[in-house]
Amino acid sequence: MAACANKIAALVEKAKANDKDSQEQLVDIFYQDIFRMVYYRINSRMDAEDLTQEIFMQMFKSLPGLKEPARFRSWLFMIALNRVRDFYRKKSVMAFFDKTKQPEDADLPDTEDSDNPVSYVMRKEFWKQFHAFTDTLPKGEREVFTLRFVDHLGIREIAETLKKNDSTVKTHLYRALKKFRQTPELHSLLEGEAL
Amino acid sequence: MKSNNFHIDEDQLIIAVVDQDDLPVAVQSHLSECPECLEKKRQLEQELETLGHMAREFAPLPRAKAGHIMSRIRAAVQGKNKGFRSWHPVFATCFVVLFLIVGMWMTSPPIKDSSEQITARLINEMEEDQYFILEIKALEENALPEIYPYISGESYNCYDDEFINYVVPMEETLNNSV
Repeated sequence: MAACANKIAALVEKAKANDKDSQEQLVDIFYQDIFRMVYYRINSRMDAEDLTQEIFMQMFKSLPGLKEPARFRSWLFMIALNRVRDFYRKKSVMAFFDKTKQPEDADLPDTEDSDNPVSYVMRKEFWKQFHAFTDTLPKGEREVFTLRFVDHLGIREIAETLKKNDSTVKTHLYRALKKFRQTPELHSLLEGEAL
Repeated sequence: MKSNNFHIDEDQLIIAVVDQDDLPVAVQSHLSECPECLEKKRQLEQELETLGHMAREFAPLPRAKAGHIMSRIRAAVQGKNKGFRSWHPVFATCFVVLFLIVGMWMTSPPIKDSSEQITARLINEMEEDQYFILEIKALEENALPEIYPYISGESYNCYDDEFINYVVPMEETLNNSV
């Protein structure tokens, strides 16, 4: 883990010096993580692809200003979260002017196993339960919970990403977990999968 | 807290999952010794891990590979750094708009003045007319330049009508005096 962090820090240093290989390696390492992170929040593959590209463009633009390469991951997630927020802001403005409902492609079969009906139903059910649970959480708790258990960030990284202190993050996480324990639908889904 | 008599409660279990170091030392030591509590903690952690695993599994993969994204980003960055060339359409638009504004301004009828401005202009014109008429009258009196009366000895100003009438009396004057 530490070796991986050191490797990333070294790549970041080189990428800052405009080393093309290092820049490509950084994109390689984080591309899918960032894409998924965006997808979990906006539930649209097409929009997630566009946003991911914008996030990496922003990353290259802001990279010279990154003072601590060791914090690259949380810094990148911070950029991504800001982009997602911008996306929702724009979306709400557009929705104000355009009352016709835009179809979301959350229900569209866009994974590789889309031809498998069982997998399709399971996927649909999972996201339904997942969003049903996360939608009940306040914004802060939802973000911390998703970053910790879906994006797999550590407490410190979440604190850096959200610019909050560790104890606030832990409090949000504690409250979210308490609510998670009281959500039988998602529980049974996960238990069924774990068996 | 004896390990065989008590077990961690729900709140302690959640704290243990969030950050075990935040538990009181006694609870931490119990947790490290009690297989039942350890199993509870492991189950919750497993459940959360499954949640992350399923989210990962059920999320689609991006259609483009990282390499494609990199080339797209490079192309976009180059497109942004084209400098003046990328500003061509903007300059062209500004030029056309400016041209239209100037054209409209040149061809538009003069803006109507207010009544005060019209009055002032009329007074000015009347003064100019009056001055012009005075000049015309002066020319009627003597159309020749000043040098000519001087040469001909007519520049003397005292030669008014009374003097001339004295020198060359008019017929009516002569009849009256007779």
